[in-house]
Amino acid sequence: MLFPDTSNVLDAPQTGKHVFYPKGGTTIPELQSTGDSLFSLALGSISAEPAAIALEKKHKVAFETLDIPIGLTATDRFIMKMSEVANVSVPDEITDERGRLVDVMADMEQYLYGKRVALFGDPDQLLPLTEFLLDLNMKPVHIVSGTPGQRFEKQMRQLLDARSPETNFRNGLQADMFLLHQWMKNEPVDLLIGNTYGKYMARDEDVPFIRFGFPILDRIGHSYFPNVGYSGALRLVEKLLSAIMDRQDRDALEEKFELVM
Amino acid sequence: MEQITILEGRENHLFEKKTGAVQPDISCDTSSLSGSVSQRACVFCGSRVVLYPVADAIHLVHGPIGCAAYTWDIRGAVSSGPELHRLSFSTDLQEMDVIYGGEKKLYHSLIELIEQYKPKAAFIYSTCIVGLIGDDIEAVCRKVANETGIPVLPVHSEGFKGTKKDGYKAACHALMKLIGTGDTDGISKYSINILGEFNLAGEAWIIRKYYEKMGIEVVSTLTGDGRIDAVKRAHGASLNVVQCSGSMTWLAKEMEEKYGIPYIRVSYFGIEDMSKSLYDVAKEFPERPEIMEAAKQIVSEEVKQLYPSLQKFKKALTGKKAAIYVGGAFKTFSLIKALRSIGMSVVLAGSQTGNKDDYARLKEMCDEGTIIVDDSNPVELSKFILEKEADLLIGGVKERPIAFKLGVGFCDHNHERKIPLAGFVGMYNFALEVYQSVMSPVWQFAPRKGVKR
Repeated sequence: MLFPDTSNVLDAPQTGKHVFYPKGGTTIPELQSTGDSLFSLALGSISAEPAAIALEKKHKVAFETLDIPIGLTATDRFIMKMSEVANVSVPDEITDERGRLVDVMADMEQYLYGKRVALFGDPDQLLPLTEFLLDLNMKPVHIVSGTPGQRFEKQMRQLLDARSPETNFRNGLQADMFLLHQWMKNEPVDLLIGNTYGKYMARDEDVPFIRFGFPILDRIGHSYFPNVGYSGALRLVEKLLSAIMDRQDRDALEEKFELVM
Repeated sequence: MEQITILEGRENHLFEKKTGAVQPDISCDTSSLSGSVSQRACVFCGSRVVLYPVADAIHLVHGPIGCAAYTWDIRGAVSSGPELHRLSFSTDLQEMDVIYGGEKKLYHSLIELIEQYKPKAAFIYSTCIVGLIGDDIEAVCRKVANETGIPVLPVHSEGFKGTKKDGYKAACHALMKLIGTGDTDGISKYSINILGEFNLAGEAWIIRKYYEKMGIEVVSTLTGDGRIDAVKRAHGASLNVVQCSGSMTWLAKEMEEKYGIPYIRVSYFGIEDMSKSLYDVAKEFPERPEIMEAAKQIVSEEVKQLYPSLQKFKKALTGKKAAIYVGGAFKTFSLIKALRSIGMSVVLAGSQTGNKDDYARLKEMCDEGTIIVDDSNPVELSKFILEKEADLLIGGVKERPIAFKLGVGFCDHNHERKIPLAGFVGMYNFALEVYQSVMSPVWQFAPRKGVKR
C-alpha cells in the first residue's frame, strides 16, 4: 500500500452528492496491515524515512530509503528497487512510459541546454529535481532550502560536486528566499522553480516561473496531475519547455519569431 | 544488429573509400530515384532559396498556394533594410486557372503588387503546374516590365524539370539578366562580389567586415542582404568570390565569360578555410601588399582569441565520429576540416548537389572507410550512422529526427538556422553546438540503436 495517498481524495469527482469519506486514499485496515509487508520503500529521507524506521522497529519490516521518483533516474531507481524487492519483472507498460519520456528528452534537450535555473523547496524534492535538471543538460545555478539537515547537505553537495560544482547551494537557517533573490540579482537565471511564494521574485526579476513543490496556492494542477514517475517527469519537461519557449517567443525579434522553433 | 539494405538503383550513388580498390565514379547530378524519399528539394525550391534574400524585390510564386506556403520566409537570411523578401506572394492557381490558363491572374497580381509595394524588381517563379499548362510567363513579364518600368524577371523553375541544382541555375539566370544594367562608376579596382553567401543570421555582414577591413570594396553580395541596385552593378567588381559552390558557380562562370571577371572558390566555415578565403582574395591583388598584410592581421587577431576557447571542446570531442550530409559539397569539405580541428573524424560525407569533381576531392580528403554519398535518403543515412557508429549528424532540419531517433547528437547546418556559423565567431558557435549535442547527458538514457554498450 501507499501512503499518504491523495488520489480520489484531493481529486475526488464532483457528483452532486456529498461524501464524507471519499473512496480513495489509504484506509485504516490498509494502514494496519502495513506490518505484514515484505519490505518498505521510504521515498524521501526527511519526509518518509521516520515512518519506515518505526515500521521496522515495531514489525521488523526491512526498508530502504530512496529519493522521491521525480525525473528519469530517480524513477528508474524506484522501479528497479520495486522489481528487485518483489522479484517481479517490469511491465511493458512502464517500459513504454519510460521510452516516451526518453524520446521527448532526446528531441527537446536542445532547447533546454545550458538554461540557468534557480530552485527552492523541500530537500526530498530538491534532490531528485536537481538531478533531473542535470540529466536534461540544464544548469542549476542557485539552490536554496530553508530545511536544515546535514545528510541532505551532504547528498546535494555530492551530486553538485560531481556534475555542477559551481552551483550556489545553501540550506538551513540562513538559507531563505531573501538570499535566493539576492543570488538571482547577482547572477541572473532563465527560470525559477519553487512553490507559489516564488511568484514575487519571478515578477521582480522578470523570469519565467514554474510552480513545483508545496504549497501551490494560485494554480491548479498538483492534485490532478502527477509530478512523480515517468509521466510526472514528462509533465515536468512539458512545463519547462513551455516556460522557456513562451519566453523565447515573447522576446524574439520579429525575424526570429518562428512557426517551428 | 538489424541490417538495412540500400535501395535498388541507389548503389552507384555511394561508396566506401578503400585505397587500392578500383572504384567507379560516383553517379551524381541526376534526378532522384522515385520513392527513395530524397532529402533534396525540388527545382522551384532551389530557385526560391537562392533568390529569397534579395530584400527589395517582390517574390511572386506563380502556382498553387502550397508552393508559396512551403517556401514562405524559408531562410534565416536577414536584411539591414527592406524586408519584402519575407513575404511570400502567390497567384494561388485554382482548378479554373489550370483549365483556362493563369496568365491574366499573373498579370493582375503583378500590377497590384507593384503598385502597392513599389519594389525595385519582381521575380516570378514558375512551378510544376505552370510548366504543365504552359502559361507564357515571359510575355507577361515583358508586358508588366514595360508598363511599370521595373525589371520583372521570370524564373524558370518548374519543379519537375530536374534537380534542386537546376533551380539554382534558373535563379542565376534571372540574376544574370539584372547584372550589367547598373552604373559601375566609382567602383574601386580592389573590389569583389561575394557570391553564394546568403546572410543567414548576419553571416554576410561578418564576412563583408573582414574584406572591408582589408581595404576591399564589396560591390554586392549575392544574394545575402541583397539589393537590386547592387546586383545591377555587380559586373563592375574585379573579382567574384564564390562560397556556395552548388548554387553560384554557374553565375561566376557566366560573369567570367561575359564581363571577364575571374572567380575563386572559398568557404567561410572553420578556421582554416576562413583564413584561406581572406588570403586567397588578397593574393588576387598582388600589387597592393597592404591587403595581404591586413588579412594576416585579421587572421592573427581572430585566431588568438578563438583558438584557446576551442580547446575545451576539443578535449571532450576527441575521438568522436561525425556524419555529414549537407547541401553543397564545398560545405562538406569545410566541415571535415572544421571537425578535425576539434578532434573529430568523419565517417560519412555527402551532399545534395555535388558534382564528379567534388566527390573525387571528397574521396581524397576523407579517411579510409568513410562513406561518400550523393543525394541521400533517410534509409541510407540511418544505415551508415548505425554501421559507422557516428556520434553526430550534421544536416538540416529534415535530417534532425534521424539523428535523435537513432540516439546521436545533431548540428543544424542548413539555411534555416538563426546562429551564424561562418567566420571565426561562427567556428566557435559551431564547436559549441556540436559539443552541446554530442556530450549531452540525455544520450546515456536513449539507447543508441545498433551499438553494444
